Amino acid sequence: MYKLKGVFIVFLFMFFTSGCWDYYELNDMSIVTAIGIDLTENGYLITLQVANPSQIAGGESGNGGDEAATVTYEKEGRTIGEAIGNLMFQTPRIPYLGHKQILLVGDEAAKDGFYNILDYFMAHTQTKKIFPVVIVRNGKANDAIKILEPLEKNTALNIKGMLETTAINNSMISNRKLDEVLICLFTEGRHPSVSSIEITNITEKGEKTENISTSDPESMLIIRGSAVFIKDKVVGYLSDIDSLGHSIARGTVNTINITFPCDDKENFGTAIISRVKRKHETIIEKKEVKGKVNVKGDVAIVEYNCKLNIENPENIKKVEKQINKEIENIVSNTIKTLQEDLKSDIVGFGEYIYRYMYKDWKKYKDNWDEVFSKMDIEPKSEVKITSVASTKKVIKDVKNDGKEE
Amino acid sequence: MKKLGVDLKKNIDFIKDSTGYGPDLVIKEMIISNNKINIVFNEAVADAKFIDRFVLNYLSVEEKKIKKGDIFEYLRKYIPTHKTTKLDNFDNLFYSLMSGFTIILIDGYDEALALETKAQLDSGINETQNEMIFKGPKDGFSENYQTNIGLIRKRIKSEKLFLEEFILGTKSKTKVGVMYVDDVVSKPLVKEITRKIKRINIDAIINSNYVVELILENKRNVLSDYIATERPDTVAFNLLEGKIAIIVENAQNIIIIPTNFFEFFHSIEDNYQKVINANYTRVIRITAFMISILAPGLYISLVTYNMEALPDPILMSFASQRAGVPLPTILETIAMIFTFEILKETDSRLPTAISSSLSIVGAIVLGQAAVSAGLVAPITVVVVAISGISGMISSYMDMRVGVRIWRVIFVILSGFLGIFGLTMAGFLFLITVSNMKSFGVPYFSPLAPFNKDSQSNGLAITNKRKFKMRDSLTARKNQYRTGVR
Amino acid sequence: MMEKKNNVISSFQLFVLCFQLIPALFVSVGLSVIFSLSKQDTWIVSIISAIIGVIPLLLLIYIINYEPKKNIFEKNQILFGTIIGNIINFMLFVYVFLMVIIVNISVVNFSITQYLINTPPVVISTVIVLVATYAVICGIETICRTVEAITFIAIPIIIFIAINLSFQFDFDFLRPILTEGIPPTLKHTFLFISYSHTPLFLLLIIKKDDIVDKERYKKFIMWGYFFGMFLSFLVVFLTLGVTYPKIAELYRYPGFYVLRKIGIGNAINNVENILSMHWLYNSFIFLMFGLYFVSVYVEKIFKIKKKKKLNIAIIILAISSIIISRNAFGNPAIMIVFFRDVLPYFVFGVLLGLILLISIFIFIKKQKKNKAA
Repeated sequence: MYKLKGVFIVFLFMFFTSGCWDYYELNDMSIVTAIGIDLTENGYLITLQVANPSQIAGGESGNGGDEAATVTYEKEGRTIGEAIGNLMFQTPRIPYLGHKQILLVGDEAAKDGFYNILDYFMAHTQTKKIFPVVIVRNGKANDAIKILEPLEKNTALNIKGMLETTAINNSMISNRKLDEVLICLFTEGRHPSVSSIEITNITEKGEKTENISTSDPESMLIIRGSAVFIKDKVVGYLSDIDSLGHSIARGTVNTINITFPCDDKENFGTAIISRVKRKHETIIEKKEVKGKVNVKGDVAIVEYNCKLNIENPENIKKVEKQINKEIENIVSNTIKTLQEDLKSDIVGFGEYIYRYMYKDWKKYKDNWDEVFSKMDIEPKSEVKITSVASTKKVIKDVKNDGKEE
Repeated sequence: MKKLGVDLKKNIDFIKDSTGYGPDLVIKEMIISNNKINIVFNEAVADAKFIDRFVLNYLSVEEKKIKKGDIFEYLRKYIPTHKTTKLDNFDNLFYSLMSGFTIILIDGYDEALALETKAQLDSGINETQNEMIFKGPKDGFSENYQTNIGLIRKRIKSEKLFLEEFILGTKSKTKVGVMYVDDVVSKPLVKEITRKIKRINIDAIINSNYVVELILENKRNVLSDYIATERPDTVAFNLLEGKIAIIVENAQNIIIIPTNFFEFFHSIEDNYQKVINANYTRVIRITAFMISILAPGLYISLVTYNMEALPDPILMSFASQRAGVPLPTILETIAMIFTFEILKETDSRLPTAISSSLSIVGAIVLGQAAVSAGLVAPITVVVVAISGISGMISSYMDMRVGVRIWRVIFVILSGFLGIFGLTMAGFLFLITVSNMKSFGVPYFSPLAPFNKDSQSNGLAITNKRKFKMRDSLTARKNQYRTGVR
Repeated sequence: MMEKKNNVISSFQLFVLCFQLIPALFVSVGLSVIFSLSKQDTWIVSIISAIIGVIPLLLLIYIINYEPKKNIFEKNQILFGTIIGNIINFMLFVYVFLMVIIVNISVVNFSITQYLINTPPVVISTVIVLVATYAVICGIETICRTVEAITFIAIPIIIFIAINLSFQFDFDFLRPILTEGIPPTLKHTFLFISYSHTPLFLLLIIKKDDIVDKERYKKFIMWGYFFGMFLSFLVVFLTLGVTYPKIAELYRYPGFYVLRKIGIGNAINNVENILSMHWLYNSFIFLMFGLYFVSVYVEKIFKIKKKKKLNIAIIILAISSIIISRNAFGNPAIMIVFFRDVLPYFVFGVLLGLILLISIFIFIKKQKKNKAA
């Protein structure tokens, strides 16, 4: 017992004299909130966005004032690790990569390949978070990071917030996090896809605080569609509507916001579909591969500018048919784009074969993309209108005394 | 062991020499029926009025009635005090003299009479001041040995409540009583305890914990293995569970052994409420204990080693708070803990008049000024304050002071190795606690030798324990409360 | 005192001990080796090995039942005579000491790569071994009670992890099933059994007389075994279902990686450091029990009577295990090779063979006794 105490006291002295090894004080570290990766001739250009805590924090210890909430550093290097290491020349503190981040990948870097990026971020110990990835569609990540926007004081939270709101309300977003990209890369029969953002109006003013002091900023970041990969390289982009179709087919939807035309193709109605259940399957009949996508859900009509009287049950069925047709249109457009322009199966028909019909997969494994582009895929949607609007008639009808024109 | 001689003068001279014949020693001479009698008592500890009114009065009035004959036997039979004993040696004589007895020495006899005439030198029956409850009785033990026993006896009127008495301490000669309910407790335990008590060899028993610490083995642990209480209802409840109470003269606290770790988080008030409400309170108590030990260590390891476990807004807030602080986190936490302890200690020893102003100074200095001056971060003050206040949740003082060292051990180990160190400190705590045994009952039961029957009063109390059955670990003989007496 | 006996163990403590000892070797390279061999069928492997593995467990119970007042070393001496008994005892001692060193190395590697990157490994190893030594010095009763207390902390953590991960579970990740057929699966079953049953051999040190309620201990050991195997199955199943099997192959510690996915809203994220501590509990319990095993052997061989000398012997054993563990393996790749090729056959195989031998001898002796009586 005495000896144990003696050893313990020796440890106490060790602690006080030699310092601790993994002990990092919070004010010795700079908290990185966003990383941008761009391609250069020699290697990579890394842009780090570091948060200034006193501007962001609550409580009485923050200063108000004109300081920007974030600072940006950039450096080049042959590998990502070297570039981050070179950044040490600029920052007074150790960059701490372990906290909430977003990864912005520039257009060219994405087209060059994702393997290096994945290797660094998934294997490195300090970056323990699994964070979202977006690809900058029409420019460099360098520019995108530097744009300041109000409401959220740094870019990471900004983009993350945009992703989340879009995902919940519109479902136009596909794979969001880095590890899902990794999973897709390892899955046989499916290629990954990642959301993409676009910078509107790239000007110099976007990087200054003047951008936030007006209520109508000149440069903004918006989310637009998604990027499509083959293996680990980006080959093209989908538009917003096509992303929606992809989400429906792939199944990562929460609620869908659909606008469908009426009979006369001039007026539209909008509906929100919730509790979406979908299934996609691949059927092999006599060496012919066919695909099917089934969608079911509950519809609530938000706005209806057509002339049908929706109290009539037959009219409701007509409206359902219109909605269904619209959904099928969206999905088939998406698939057509995927099949013809991009030739990449991001929905996962190949994956279905790999999982459920393993023996047949060996035949199609090597050239699945070509098989996919010739596949015959039929979407089918059977949504039902479940909730009734709070008004029994459309307001326009009441004004016209209920006469149908 | 000098025996009394027949010669009165020699006896009195010996008494005067041995005690130094201080002014509080009263020696009164009387002559009754041609016998010289000396009445000796110590004015400080004997009730002088009683002696005047009853003893001396009797002796003077009845003088004529005392015939020639055996005056010693006559006095022994008829003198109106409730307790008379015969003494024949000086050790017993001095003990009786200093305990407040009146000694009657008769010339020509080699025995003396001792009459019980003790003065009451204490405060009577007080309200409990250290263990407050709302709903139960509020009388508490005082320093009077007989009153304490009386308070227990009036709650357990059974004839099976035995009392064994010992006199310990070579100079203090304190009376120590051991009480137990004979048909519930286990006899080997009683025999063991009494055997160990008889072998105690010390000069003075100043307070009741001396007795217990001399018979128990765990002297080096910070957590105590006995309960010291000042409430009679707690003692009565525990006696009926099969435990043993030790009452010490001049001590206000009564010791209950054996005990286990979870008893420190029980309060007798749990028996006075509905079972579910009492369990809710118990959950809060144990959670508070864990918070008190773990909170500073967890704070240090989260802020310096595992920063990614903190949510975002908290991380930003901490980072901005720590920007101007000079000390590293661990030293700052240790400094705050010690400051808090200093504040607590000074506050408890000062008289009430000064302590109220001191607490205001402490609050302002530590709470406001130190934070504004940039010496400490506000979050450290919050964490240490929560930990300190949660540590006071136990009803017994021993547990409150026991957690302090463990808190510091946790802080040091977690500052050294992060969450890993915190886990190691937790292991150390569990090993130490599991190692203690309190008279055959393992300290961490009923959780660590998992005893399903005893669970009814371990972490939570159940109706079965309250109304039907006793603790199976200590009540070996008679486990049912209901039915045959 | 209540009980005059020392070293009292209750059946519930046996249950908890089995339950905690079985996943002890998985925290190291065990999981990653098995994932790299039988990719998405690992969960089937774990179920089959739970069923087949009952056989060594029954042998163990048979051995514990024989001669209730003696531990394994004395039993060996009775069965085989002095010389061969000593040889077998020495082999057992060497293997258990080897396992203590292995667990030492694996815990240190795990901690270094995940939590404490810059700390010298000696410090981590010293701290954990010394705390385990303190428990061993206090005796077997303390060890068993500590194990119980640790389990009560570990169970809420495990339930929390299980509930949280089951929301992110995706059955599709487990398909396609049985891509390689049955025979490789059986081979992997043997591998799995060798990881999960090697710690169970530590139970031989317990004398049956020390157990309080003797009639029920068999039931408790079986329950403990099934709970332990269920826990391993749960880990494998959740890791496969939440992260993709190929990712589980990629990472060195897939059981740790899957904990990164736990999150409640925005507040509790990335608590994998705190939650992964329950792996540490298993290794710590193994270390305590393994050190106790070797200390009993040393006490018997050198006939140590005084308690102080025994304490010194235990401390020497502990420190030597630290020193050996630091210098044993050159680089981590050798350790993976050790786990894949050496451990199942040369360690577990030999131990299993010893157990079979002992059981056969007990059987023969009992037959002789029956014939003689």
